[in-house]
Amino acid sequence: MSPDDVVVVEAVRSIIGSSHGGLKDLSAAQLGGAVADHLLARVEKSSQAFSRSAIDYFVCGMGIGAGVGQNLPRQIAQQSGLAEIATAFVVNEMCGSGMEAIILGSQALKLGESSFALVGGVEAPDGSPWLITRSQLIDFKDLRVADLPEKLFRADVYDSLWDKTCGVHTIVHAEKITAEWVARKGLDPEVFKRKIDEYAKLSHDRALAAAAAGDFQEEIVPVPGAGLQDELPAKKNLELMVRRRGTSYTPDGRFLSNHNSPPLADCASFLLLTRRRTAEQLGLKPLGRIVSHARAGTAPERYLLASLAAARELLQKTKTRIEDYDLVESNTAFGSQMLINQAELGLDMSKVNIHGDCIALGHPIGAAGARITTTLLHALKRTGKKRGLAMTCLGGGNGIALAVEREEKI
Amino acid sequence: MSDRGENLVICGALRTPFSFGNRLKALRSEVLLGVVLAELLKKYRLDPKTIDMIAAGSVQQDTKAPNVARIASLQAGFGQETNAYSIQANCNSGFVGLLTVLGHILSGDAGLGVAAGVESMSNFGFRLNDKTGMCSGKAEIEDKLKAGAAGFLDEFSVVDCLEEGLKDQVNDMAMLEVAEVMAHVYGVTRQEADAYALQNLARAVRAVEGNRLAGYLVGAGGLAQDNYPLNRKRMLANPALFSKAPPVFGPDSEFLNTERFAQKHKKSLDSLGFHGPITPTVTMYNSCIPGDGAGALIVAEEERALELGLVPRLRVISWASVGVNPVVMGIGPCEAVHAAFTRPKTRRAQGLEMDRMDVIEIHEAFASQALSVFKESEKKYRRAWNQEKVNVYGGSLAYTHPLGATNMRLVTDILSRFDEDPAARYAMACGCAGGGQGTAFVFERYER
Repeated sequence: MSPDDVVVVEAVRSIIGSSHGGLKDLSAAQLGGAVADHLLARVEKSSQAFSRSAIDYFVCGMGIGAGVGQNLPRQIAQQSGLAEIATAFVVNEMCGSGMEAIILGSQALKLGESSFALVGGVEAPDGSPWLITRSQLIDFKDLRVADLPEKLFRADVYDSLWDKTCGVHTIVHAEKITAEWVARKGLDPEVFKRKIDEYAKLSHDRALAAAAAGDFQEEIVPVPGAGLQDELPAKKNLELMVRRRGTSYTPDGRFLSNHNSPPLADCASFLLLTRRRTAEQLGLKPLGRIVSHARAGTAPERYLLASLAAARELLQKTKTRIEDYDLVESNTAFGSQMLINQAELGLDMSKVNIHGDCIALGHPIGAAGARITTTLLHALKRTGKKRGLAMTCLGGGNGIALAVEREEKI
Repeated sequence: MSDRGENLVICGALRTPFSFGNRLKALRSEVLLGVVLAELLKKYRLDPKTIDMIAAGSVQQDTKAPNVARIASLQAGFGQETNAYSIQANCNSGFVGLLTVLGHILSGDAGLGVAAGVESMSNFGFRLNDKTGMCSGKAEIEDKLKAGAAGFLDEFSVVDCLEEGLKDQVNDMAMLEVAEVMAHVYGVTRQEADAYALQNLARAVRAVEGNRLAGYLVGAGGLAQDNYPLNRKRMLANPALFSKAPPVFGPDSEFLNTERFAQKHKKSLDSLGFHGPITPTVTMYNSCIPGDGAGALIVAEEERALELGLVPRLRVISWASVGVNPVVMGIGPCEAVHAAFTRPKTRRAQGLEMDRMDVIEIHEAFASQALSVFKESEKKYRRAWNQEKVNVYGGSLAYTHPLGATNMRLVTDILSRFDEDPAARYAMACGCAGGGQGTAFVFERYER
């Protein structure tokens, strides 16, 4: 342990809201503002010596940018009393945005560019608009209402779920990669399909059990107008999920359905980072430390395998084995990905996504990386475990993995 | 201050011509950026496998190209293994992208990276916000339309993204309003602003006609050079066009009703000693206009660059990023420059000051904004901005301002100036951003 280690002082998130759920009226700035405010108030309460004015670096992940307005973290900063913060910017790396924000914040701390960094991500797709391109319409005065159906397109689909490089929905890739992998391994597609659905049900069971046991209590902070429970898990009929096949998204889709794919959701999650030395000076008790990270890239159409590639890179970089990690959070783009990762990495499912994953909880694109890291750190604390690994793939074909460690004591 | 910090270099740079409207409109942001990145590979003979990181600044993260850095880089022939992300920090997006790439190099995460910036403001669209809840399907929208246009517009609000992109949500002020407030607070007159804009245009016309920028340009959409200065060349013969231009805020505008304006922004304006009434200063001729364009820089650790046979051109020797009051966001460079000199990031920058700079590039959001920076810097820090060194090729006022790409132009301009003037050794680039942030970089000509 070095005094220059980057530590996570605190990590929180909002509930994950369903489409048109309790968070629907909050803009990205309001949602982020409320969560950041709670995070900072909690830290200020734990140490009189800490004041939020010490934060000089703010990186916010975001996936769906349409309609969010200029520099989201500046807007959030204003809502949470961070006045004239020196550096604030958005990073968009699709589903990895929140995790890239953590990496960039850690980097600024390591380089002495920052003394306290606020990092995380926000996604509020309920507020995402319909769009008309300017090439179709020069001036709004010329808009004929009758033309709208033809000209409008959905920002949430294009910003988050569409693979621009190939011009298809990411689920098309996911079906293909899954089929290819299943064939390569010589597995029975029907059996594999059932396994995916069983995993989706497991994810729901775990998420509901975690909610019932209050396992998310520490990490969830209240936001205006919403309750304190993640909204999605309770909404599905679990028995039906496995008995029925669900609805495929693609005409010839064999594996993926609405049952085993994550729904788009609203959420904000932030972490406060500093160096261990600073935390000690101010009497702060960090949740954990950022150990290392790794990135990887695959072809855009093979993005489903990108988190796997990043995790392998991380294991190599840190000279660790997958068994060395006590808990793993693997962001699940689609259900089959989990089974592929499990087989390829040799994951012990009793350590992976122990509180369910985004299939059950919902997938807040730009916040996802921060959300799973936050959940991971709190889960390590609650279970008394030490080493954690978080990994995610990103639309476009990149992958990121992050290793964290709970602080034994300080 | 680590030793690694002494070894940050820029090995090349390119940008498209800047323009607005018809010329580059057909090229959406991922295409514009792709043009630059593809030429960057070709011209500097880069092996895509050696590039560790790509960070692209882009203010309106185009919905049809989410994470534009990744899409453009793949289309341009960069490797699938290369991580690419997009940064949004308003008009400093390009510089913040450069800062993160420097960070990756400093922390040993990368040896060679690309910092880029892009904006296609001709393609900023319109959006409809569904007031009742989102994600309704097109069929539902059609149903609502059948129910009648009046009812439809009750349920949806329509926003022009171009207008919105030039507005600061933090304090609910348009950038044009900020420009007027700054002129008032820092004492910039209409005459000064017009004279500055005129001189700026003259410099840009001279540079474009003299082919001074060609070394770092890559043609796009049939456009080989910046066309906006040339389109306005005839204005040079008639300076009265500048002084006679009507102010953006006419006598009827709500903005000039200072009482209401002052009430709305009481807290932030009081601290500045801002009291009306104000005489309008800002016209469309002394403001920058939106633009389309892209640019990119090759950023590397010195040893890695030499190992790969690249020729370093600039050393990055200091930088700073600061926050200022959003109501006078344009003053950011004044503080950022101060921080870059007084808290030098490398030994090479120690003891350097403004008077040692041979080339000074500042992004001009408005003439009033740039002049405010010069005045405040002189008054507060006794730091003089020698106008013979500042934006010698003209600036954003003359070239247009594609938000995410402008920062890249500042660096290509420095390289062009260094080519023209072999005696030039030090350069500085700085910019402001809506929301109240300033960024500055200090460069030194690379010599082994």
